[in-house]
Amino acid sequence: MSSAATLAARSARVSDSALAAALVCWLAVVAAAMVGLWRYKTAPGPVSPSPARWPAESRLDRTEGRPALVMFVLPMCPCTRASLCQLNAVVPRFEGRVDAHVVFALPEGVVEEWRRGGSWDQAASIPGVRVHADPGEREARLFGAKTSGYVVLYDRGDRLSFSGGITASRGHEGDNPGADALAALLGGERAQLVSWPVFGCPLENPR
Amino acid sequence: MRRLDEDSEPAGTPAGATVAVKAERLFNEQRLSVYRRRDRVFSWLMLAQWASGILLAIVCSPYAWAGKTHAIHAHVWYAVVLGGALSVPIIVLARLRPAAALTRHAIAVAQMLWSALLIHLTGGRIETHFHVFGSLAFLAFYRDWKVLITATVVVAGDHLVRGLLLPESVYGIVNPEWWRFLEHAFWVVFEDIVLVMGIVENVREMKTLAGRQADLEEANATVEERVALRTRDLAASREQYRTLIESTKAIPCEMEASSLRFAYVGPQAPRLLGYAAETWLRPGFFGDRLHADDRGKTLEHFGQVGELDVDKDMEFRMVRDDGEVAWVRSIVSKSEDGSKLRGMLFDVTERRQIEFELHQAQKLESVGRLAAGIAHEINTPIQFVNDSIHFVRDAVRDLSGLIDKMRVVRDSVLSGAPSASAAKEAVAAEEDADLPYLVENLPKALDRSLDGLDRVATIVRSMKEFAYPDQKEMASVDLNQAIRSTLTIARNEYKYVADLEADLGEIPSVTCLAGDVNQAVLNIVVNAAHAIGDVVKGTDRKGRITVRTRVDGDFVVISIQDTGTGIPEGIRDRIFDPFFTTKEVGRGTGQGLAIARSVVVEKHGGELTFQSELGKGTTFFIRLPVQGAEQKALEGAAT
Repeated sequence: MSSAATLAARSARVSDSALAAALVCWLAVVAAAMVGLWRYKTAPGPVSPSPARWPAESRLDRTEGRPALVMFVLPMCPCTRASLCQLNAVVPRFEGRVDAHVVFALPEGVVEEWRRGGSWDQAASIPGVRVHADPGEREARLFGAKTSGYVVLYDRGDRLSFSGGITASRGHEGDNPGADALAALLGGERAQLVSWPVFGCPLENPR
Repeated sequence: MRRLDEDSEPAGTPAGATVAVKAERLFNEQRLSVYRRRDRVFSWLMLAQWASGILLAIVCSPYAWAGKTHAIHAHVWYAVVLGGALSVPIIVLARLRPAAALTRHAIAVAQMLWSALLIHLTGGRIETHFHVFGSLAFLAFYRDWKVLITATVVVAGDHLVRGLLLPESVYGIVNPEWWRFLEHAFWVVFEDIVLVMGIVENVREMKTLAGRQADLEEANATVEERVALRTRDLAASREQYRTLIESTKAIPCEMEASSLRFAYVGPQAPRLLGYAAETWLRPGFFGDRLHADDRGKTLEHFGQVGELDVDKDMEFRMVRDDGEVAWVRSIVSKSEDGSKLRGMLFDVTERRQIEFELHQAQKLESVGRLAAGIAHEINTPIQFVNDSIHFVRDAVRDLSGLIDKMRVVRDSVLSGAPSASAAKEAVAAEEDADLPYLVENLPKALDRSLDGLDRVATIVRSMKEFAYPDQKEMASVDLNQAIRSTLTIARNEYKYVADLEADLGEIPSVTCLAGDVNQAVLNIVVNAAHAIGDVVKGTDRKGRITVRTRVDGDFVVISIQDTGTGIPEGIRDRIFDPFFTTKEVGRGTGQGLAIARSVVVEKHGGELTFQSELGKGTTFFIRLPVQGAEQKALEGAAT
């Protein structure tokens, strides 16, 4: 083999090796990015304790002797759609046996258009659910809601029986322990869980 | 048909091995072409998926909110960064290493990671898993089953890892059954099996097609090689033919039948007339360069070529650029569609000159052959003229002596002294001179001398008339007189074997070349004498030659009849051929009748025919147009 051919073969081997190394690096970067995405989607929103009993200051209607369920959502949060889908998967099964509310948190100073976002209609279309606007996030503060998608369930005795999210991760539809626990409680069963992380945007402005 | 996986050719067959190698090469070329095309398509797909991911993120989750504040949603950043990380390196790789195995396997990995990402982003929606199946089908277009293995490993690994760590992102639920991974893997493997079967079949067809194409290319190459070989042979043959044609003196030519304009002349043409080949191609060249005397009949001839009874062969004169005349012989025929005349032109000037000289030589030969007879014919009158002159001279001398004696007597008487002796001497001288005899015979001697001289003058005049050496153009001629002259100088040829009867009728003057006609008549008369000589040889008998002239319409007919041997049937077709003779060597050259025919037919447009009966004799008929050949041709054209 001539020296030129030898050089070319060696150059090709080096080039192939470099390429393989680059591909490995590429896979590592992609894997890292996937992990980062996974961590972002599974990072829960902030929570705070909700009142153990139905707050008397609440302006939400409730029927005596019925469980009451309230979901707090931020209209502009992309994750709201998944939370409402999950709510739609649970509540209609118990229509007439639970007072279900979806409260749209409207921070101070937001324009009226927030209320009329796409999520409003989605929520209003869920059977047995009443939709409310919460200007200044008064109700959210009463119930200790910090993250969009936060759900509280009070039983017939006004006791808090469940709080947290009903999605598996950010914007993630599908079966998950939170939704399963909520359905079980509404069905009068004992639930192993009384809370589940909530995945969504913070309801309040950052401090 | 030959397939790569079928060894249909006998082992070691060079042609089979060549085709197999070619088929392998074609298959590999086709496969690389497929790889390149797929790489290119996947490059665009990667770009499209990246753009779609970004667009989807912007539409569905443009911002992340905190109260009423917002920021670009992490999904957008991930779509840009992670999508770019998945797509851009692959696009670059496909550009740098198209058709490389590493490239398509990297593409398979990236495409499956796109599926994983989309499934991840859609929360494990079962519908999004169709992206996996679609991607596998798309990858199958590479027609390389190993790519599917790579893709399957990636998708299985993703399902396994995420199924263990984050099941809801791949299955959509948080607590899937333990065998859910196997269920997904089963369907992927199921599709893999179907796709691999398709790929194997597809590759087999590609190999079959490559084999067919190799066969075709081999056959095509063989045919092309043969065609090239034949083309070379044909070109060489054409070149050889062209060289052969154009290197001879014969000039190949083609002319338009309607206008007689040359469309092509061989490169020898300039040598014929001195004009460049391009000049020959000009309209009207042919007609313009024809000799004025030949133009009419030549154009008429060329206009009728291809018709029945029109010879392809003709000789005519053309005028060279230096004014000299060139004799040209043409042999042309009409093309099948009648639009072209094609043939050859020959420069026969030299031959014509030789023929002319031969003709003249033949004349001289005739004169030479006749010279002895003519000398004899002249010698006889000269002899008796000589005798008569001698007689006259002696008589004059005797008379002169007598006159002297008589003058002496006269002087003696005038002097008054007459001398008897003088008178006696005068009487004696008178007796010696035989004066009565002289008075009676002197006029006769002078008459014989005049007659002899007249006969000599006739022979000399006949010789002069026979030759007509200065006549080059046709002229009006008293043909009977010309025949008489010819018979005069030929007399010695026939007078010992035949009696001649000249039955020359009333005929008009004929426009002709008298010298040539005389030559023709002489040749036939001499032949007649020879034929009669063969009959009367060794006997005292004489034959008879009868020469007649008659008018027949616009023609004058000269018939020369002999009582010779006659012409045998077997040679009648050949007697006009040059150099054909039945005579012994030294008696004839075979040119006589050939020249006679040339003179009568070609020069005068007449006819030379004969009737012959073996053992009884032959009669030749010379038909000459009274107005000459040119006038006859013009009248023929007019009718």
